Amino acid sequence: MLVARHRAALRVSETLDLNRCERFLQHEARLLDDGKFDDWLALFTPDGSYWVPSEPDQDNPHDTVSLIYDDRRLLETRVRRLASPRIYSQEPRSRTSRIVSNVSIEDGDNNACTVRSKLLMVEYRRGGQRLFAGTAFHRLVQADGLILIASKRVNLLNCDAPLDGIVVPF
Amino acid sequence: MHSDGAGEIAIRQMRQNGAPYSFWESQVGIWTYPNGHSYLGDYHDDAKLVAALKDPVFREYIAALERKKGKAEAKRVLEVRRWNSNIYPNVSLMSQFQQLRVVYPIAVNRTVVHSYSFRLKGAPDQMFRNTISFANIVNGTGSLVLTDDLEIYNRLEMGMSSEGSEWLQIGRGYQSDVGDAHGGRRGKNSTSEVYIRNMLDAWLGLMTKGHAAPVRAAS
Repeated sequence: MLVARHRAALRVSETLDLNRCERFLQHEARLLDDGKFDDWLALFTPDGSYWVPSEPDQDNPHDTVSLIYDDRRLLETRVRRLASPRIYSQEPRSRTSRIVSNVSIEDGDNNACTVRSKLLMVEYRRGGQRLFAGTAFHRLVQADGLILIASKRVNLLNCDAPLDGIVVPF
Repeated sequence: MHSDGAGEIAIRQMRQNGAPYSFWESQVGIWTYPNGHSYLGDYHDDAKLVAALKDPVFREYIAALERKKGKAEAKRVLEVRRWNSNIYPNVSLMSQFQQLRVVYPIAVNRTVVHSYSFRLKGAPDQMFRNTISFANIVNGTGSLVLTDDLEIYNRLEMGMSSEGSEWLQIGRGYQSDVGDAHGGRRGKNSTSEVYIRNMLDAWLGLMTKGHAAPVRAAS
């Protein structure tokens, strides 16, 4: 129960400073590398969203197609599917290794902020290895001492290239 | 569960994709035409579609269409309810979702598909947003639907690159296909591989400029 441990580690009065945000992003990356997708989902607010645009500088997810745009309901569907034994695209499962770095707080206050970070993810599956690079923007909010993701946007370097399926979340 | 509406059409689509085998066997048709073209007949219950007749956005669209084209023409347009229209060799239309796909063969083991989403002039803005949501979930690189499809395409490629089998079996439905008045053949139901045979038939015709032994009877 990583979520519970995470909760216990926080003091209610703590501000959302760079150090805490960075630790939070590393915690998130670890959950994803470990395939703990339910725990990852639990990091999102009840109206949280996850977005991977298909164009550099894409303005919004409604008027242009995206590689991924999940509102909370679709995100839950995605995570449920990741747990299904009939998910052929994860038979065999991917292994991922990601590095989160260059973390900065773009704007915000003690209880909500936008965090920018660089992401490198290597995915290995069935003899093939792929490298993804990009910039992530997390809108983090603090509620009852817990940090949650209100929205997450990942700008892939090659977002407008032809790509094979993306199944494991960034 | 929170939804900003983006998932609405996606959820409907995924439920529809999960229809039982008997549904595909008994309620969906597939039609083929000379020169390799084909279409899959609509199998959607209107209530489950983005074009749901009771949907307020779609009602608004129908009203706009009737104002522009008249009631009779609007009715005729709306009753063309095809799922996939496939124009040989590499174009696929999903008219209900205002979508066009073009398949580009790059190499024997590499294919790129481009999807285009269209905004209908004078239609409600939300209709286009539904089209985008549909593309996200059905055609997107990270979509819940396409990723499993891509996996199957990749497995087919692996199978074909093996030496396990010299021939591909595409005979499903062969004995139950029927001719139709347009010079094509129709599958008894949507699981017939008649459209694949029809494409290969067109290909053979192009490759041999019509000098091949007649195989249409077998398609």
